[in-house]
Amino acid sequence: MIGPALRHLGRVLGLLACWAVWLLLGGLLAVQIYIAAHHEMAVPQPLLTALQSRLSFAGLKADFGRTRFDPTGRILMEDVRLRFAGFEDPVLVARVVSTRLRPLALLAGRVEAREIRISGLSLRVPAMFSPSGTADEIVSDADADLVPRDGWIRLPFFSAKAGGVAIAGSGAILVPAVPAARAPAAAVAPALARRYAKLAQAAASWLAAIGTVESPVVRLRIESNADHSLGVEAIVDADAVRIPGGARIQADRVRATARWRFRSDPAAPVQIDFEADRLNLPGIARVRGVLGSVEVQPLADGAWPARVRSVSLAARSMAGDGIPVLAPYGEFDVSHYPAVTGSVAGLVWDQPFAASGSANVVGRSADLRFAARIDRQAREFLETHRMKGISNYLDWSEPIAAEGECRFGAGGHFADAWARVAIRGLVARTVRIDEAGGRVSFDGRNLLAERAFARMGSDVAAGTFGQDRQGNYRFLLRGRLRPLDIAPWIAGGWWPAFFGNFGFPTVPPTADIDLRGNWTDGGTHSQIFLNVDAPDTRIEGLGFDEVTGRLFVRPQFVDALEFRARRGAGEAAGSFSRSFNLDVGDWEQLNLKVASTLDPGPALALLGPEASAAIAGIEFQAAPRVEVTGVFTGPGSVAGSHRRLAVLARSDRQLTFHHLPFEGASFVARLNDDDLTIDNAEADVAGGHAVGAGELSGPPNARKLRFNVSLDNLSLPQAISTAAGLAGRTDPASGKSAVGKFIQPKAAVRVNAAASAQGLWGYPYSFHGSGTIDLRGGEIGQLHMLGLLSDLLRFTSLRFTSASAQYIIDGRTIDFPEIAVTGANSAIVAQGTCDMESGNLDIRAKLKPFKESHALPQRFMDLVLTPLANALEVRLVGTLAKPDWVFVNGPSNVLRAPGPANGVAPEQ
Amino acid sequence: MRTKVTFVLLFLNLLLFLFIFRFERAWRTERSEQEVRHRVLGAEAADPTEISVTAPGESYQLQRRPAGWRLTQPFDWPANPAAVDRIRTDLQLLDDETSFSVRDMQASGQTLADYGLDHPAMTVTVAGTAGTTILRIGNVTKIGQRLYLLSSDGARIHVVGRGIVDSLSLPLDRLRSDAVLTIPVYEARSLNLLVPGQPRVRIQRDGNHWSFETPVPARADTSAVEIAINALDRLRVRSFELSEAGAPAANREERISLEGNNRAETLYVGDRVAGASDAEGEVRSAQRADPTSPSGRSARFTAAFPPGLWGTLGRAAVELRDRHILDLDTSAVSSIELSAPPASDVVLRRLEPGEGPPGWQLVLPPEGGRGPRTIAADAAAVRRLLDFLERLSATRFASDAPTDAEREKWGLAQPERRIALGLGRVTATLEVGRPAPDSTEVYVQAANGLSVFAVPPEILRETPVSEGDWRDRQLIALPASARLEAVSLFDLATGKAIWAWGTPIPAGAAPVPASRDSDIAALADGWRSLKALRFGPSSFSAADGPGGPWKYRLDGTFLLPAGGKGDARTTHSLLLTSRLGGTEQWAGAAEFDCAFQIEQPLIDALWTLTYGDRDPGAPNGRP
Repeated sequence: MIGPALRHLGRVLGLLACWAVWLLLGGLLAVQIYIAAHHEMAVPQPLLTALQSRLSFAGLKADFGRTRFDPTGRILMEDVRLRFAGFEDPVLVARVVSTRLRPLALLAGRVEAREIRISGLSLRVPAMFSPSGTADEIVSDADADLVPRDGWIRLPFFSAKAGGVAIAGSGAILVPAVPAARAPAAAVAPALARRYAKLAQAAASWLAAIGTVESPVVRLRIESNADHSLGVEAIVDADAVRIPGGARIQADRVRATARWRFRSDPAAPVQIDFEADRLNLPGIARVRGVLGSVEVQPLADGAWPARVRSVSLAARSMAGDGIPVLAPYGEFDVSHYPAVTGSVAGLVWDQPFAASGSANVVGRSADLRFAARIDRQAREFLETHRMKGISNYLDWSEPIAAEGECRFGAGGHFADAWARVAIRGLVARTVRIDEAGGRVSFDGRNLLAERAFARMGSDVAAGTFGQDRQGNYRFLLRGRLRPLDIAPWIAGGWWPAFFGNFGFPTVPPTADIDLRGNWTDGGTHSQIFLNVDAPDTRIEGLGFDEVTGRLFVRPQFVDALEFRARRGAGEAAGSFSRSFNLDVGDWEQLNLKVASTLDPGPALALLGPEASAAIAGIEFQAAPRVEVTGVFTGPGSVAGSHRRLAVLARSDRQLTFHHLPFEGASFVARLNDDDLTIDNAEADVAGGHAVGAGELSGPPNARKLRFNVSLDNLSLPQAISTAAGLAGRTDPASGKSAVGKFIQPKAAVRVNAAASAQGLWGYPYSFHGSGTIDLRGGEIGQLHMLGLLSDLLRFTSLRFTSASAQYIIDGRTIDFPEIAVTGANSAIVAQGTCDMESGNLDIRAKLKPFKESHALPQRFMDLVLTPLANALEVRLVGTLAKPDWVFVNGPSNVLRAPGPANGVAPEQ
Repeated sequence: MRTKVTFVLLFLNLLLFLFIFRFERAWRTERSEQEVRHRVLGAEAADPTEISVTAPGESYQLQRRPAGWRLTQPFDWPANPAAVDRIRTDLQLLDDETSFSVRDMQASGQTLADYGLDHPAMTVTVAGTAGTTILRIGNVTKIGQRLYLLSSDGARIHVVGRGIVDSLSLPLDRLRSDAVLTIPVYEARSLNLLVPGQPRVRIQRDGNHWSFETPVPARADTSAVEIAINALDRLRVRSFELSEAGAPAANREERISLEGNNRAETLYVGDRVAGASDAEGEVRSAQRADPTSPSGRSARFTAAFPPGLWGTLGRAAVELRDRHILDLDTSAVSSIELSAPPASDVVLRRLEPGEGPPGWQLVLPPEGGRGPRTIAADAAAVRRLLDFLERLSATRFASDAPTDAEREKWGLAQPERRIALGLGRVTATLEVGRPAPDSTEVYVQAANGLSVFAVPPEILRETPVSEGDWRDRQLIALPASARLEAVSLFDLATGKAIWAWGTPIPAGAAPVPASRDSDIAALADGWRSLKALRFGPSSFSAADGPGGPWKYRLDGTFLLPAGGKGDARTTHSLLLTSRLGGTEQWAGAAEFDCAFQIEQPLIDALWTLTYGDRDPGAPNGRP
């Protein structure tokens, strides 16, 4: 009974099971037919709920548009929107999110994605945080493939656009293990929201700024490392980058590469390399081929923006402010920003330039050291950009080597700079300097070259040069220098006018110079103080063995404080000063104080023809000692031309005046304008001594000469010989004087004479005065009354031993009121005149033979001859050139005309 | 029956399951995704290894190698990374504006020819780890300047913007790298130059400095070397000479090699290219060493060498050599010894910490049976000397292996000067040769070195061996508050005062007019801090000064304020010569027991005060 029931029950159950299976299979078949027919299905709500639940942990709320899935496990969600709890605006919108789930995991109740593909994703900044006030997209059109596997998420590719920036990349990220104890969603969500908001704000700002980047492209490579650090390599390319602001800085074809690692060492420096085809810094430089790197140091908490530690820059070329720089490069340590240290180098005008130092970027101060060679092209730059006209006064043929330091004060104001420079082939204001160097400094106002030297051929000078911004300059030099070699430096023409008188044919003079002036004032403020020692010097062509002196010179003034000129055994020393009236264009005053033992002929030739004429006819056996003190004013003087001169001259050796020899001549002459006074003129002449004085005065057309001459104890023979010499009565053949026989027996005769007269200078017949002449000692002459018979009857010979005469100079006539020639036994008494203009003589002479004799025969002869003497009164007539004796009282043939004594015709 | 039904149902389910999961691919989700997506390329463009572009007249091929991307067609040369990355990114971000399937197109009676895709104007092949993708670019749309692009599988036609063609049609000179050498200066470890007819030059980095290894071991000019390397790095390819015609003979080539971190680059530079000119310099043909090329060299190209660079490389042994004679750290110098036989040596010693304030001492020879004496040295003069020596540079490298005859000729056999610098335990000694008459340079040689350098003769002026040139020049150092109360100048010949200033005024002296107050102030400044420009050779003599007889006596009284009570006065008297030259005037005083040259400001002040009345000044009417 139970059996059948059980069997029936079994059949029923089997039938039920069978139907259940059929229903299940039928349902499954229906589902599969549905799936096969529709190709897609809506995502089951529980799955969506599970997903939303997972997102809610992060404080996100997800909204989905259409969601579908297919039997392969692929879920397609369209119009996905994520928003933070409490925000209305979505922060993430994706056009489509496709994920392929692992079916087995799904069967186990786990949602595990095998692949996630996102397309059309955009990240948005909530309106409340947006600078524009609207929910702007900060990332758009993002596509990405994500492949989660074994704790990694591989990113085979991702691409996006962020504010016009195209971003592409790939990578793999190691997902950190989920902590066992999760923080409650309520705690995580606000933090995440805040962080996103902060990030979105920053991103919005960056994107606003990045609008100045043209066609930016970012390539990212993200790789997690085993230590869970995240390595990121970013390469940014842009057609152009413009820095916002008024500077209009632009870089073209820019490429930047950065690599950094997150998490491992937050403070680890990051290096950013960059390059650009061109960088335009308006008003500063145009740079081509820029290459550089920046090392940035994240802040202590790893936050960004980081602090820049160092910057390296290089470029192919740079042209700033007209200065071309090839291959510039620099390295800067900015870790102590704003204090920056670094170095730069490059080829400036094709010459090397290097600098290093420190700077305060904010304060814009800097201390720099530099070494450079400065090409000649710098001159053209200065001419064009800085110092127009510099080409007129500065040039150089070889690069200038300079090494020094430079400082800029706060605000970028130039403080000072100095450099040790070496120059070859320098041309300074047309003066060619072979070589120069020194320490040059500039404080913004004054240029100073210290311990400088310059060589120009055989000229060598060392010292200091300074110049201010007004063009005032000063040379303080010692060395050997020909003044005319630097003549172009001193404008106005006075320099060559003065120093052109000097020549230094063999060696330049040694000098210690203080030269000041102004480059722009035409030389008016020029002045020089110099001490000079010049061997082998020519002054206006006259050679001197050595000239030394100390001079102070201005354009209108020369003051030789002391000078010494040596020529052979002679020497001149003293001082002089001369001023010049530039307005009048003529000299003003000359002060002179000179003591000279120079040969006065050549020396006075230096003073001009007037000075030479003053000593015309004077010849010196040895140079006299002359002391001259004078003050001259010239046409440039307001007082007019005046002369005051005192000359003290003394010649220890013989001098001749028109062949009249003098020994030990000395005189003191004073010239006061046209008045010349000669005092204490003394000389030894003809065995005697001459003393005289004279004065030449009066206006030029009526010059008066007054003189007073005294001859003392002259030797008559010497005087006659001298006179003969002066008269040219020396036998040209023998050289012997024709008066030799005459003077031979009269060696003991001494002559004293004096003359005093005054008259008009240049009018010899205008003189009036008087004089005396007196001959003493020895036999002046003999007269043989009986001719040859007197040799037998010696008492008939008349001998004269003294003569004296007074004369009066009366214009053209010299009046001899009494001429007495006396001897031991006779006398001649004469009187008469001489017309100096015609030379006519009219002198009457009476011979009184034996009148002075006390011996009997002679007394007798006196008695006998007295009548005869009266009859024999003779008269000297004719001319000085041709005197003629005639008897006053008888026929000329009664007695022969009295011949000259001893057969010698009377002389003038 | 039940079994049959069951199996039938099971079979049908299985069949359908297989159909659904095994054979059916066109799930609507995937198609929907494709329709929604706008990216033309996906992962296949993310990691390409080769990109080829074929277009009439513009074909090229790029290949990724371990060292980077290279342009392999039409010639082999490193590619411009920026250009390649731009192409890659543009491909990766290539979006269509719309797309349609080829099947739909054909269904509507259109053909590929209608879109120019049967013979595409441009074909882009992207090969990579994800496979090869071929994009065919056809005609421009009739409106909107867009392009038709056929997908790699030929199933879809995308309408894309023209930008992709612009990106792919870069000229070759943008596609290729124009860099000639790529080792940056900071990576460079050595620079090697081989110039025909000259010894090989090798310069290698030594820390922060560079040194010559050949032709002679010597210091290199770090700045000059790095400028040269940087200038080499900045060389750019101007053009390629794909013909070898006119290539210079190997023995006329200059070879330039740079070694960096585990890499080296070599450049062969030939003659100037006739008729070629470039604003940046001389145009020369060149080749890079290229191990991957059968010839070992790259294609021949031209580059512009700046004249400065080319000249430097041609004379590298001279131009890149450090011209500084001494590699001197002046702060490390502890002593200086200057010798010039037969004069006695000048010995200067830096004061050690603890010996007083930083400064220098002049060590005088023993005298009177006592040991050496020391007096304060002129720190400024020592500093100037060290500064001079630090910057002392050769005008010429005379010889690196001088013979005895040359040393004799250059005066080094019996040096004119010997400069010994104490640097801790070592001494750097420099010998200066006796200058030849009228020579514009002198020769120096380090005592332990071979090389002889020509330097300016100023080295002899800068190293005088007179004690007076080194002793402390400060003679009077009154405080700045010290005020000149009175000063009088007396003519020693007459004993009369020439002028006076302040009170009291000596009898007969002319008071200095107010117009000269600035000169009095300058005189006071110079006197308050009286410094000798140079000391005379002997001690003070009241009879004569070193340069001439004393002419003046200058008496002055300074008031030293002490806050109103106990003001002190100090009186000084100087004997003065006339101004003997532009820069020379001597003074002497018993209180210093020396005669000395006064400094220029004091000369100027005294000159104005003594000569001013005589000086007519600038010409009238000329300001």
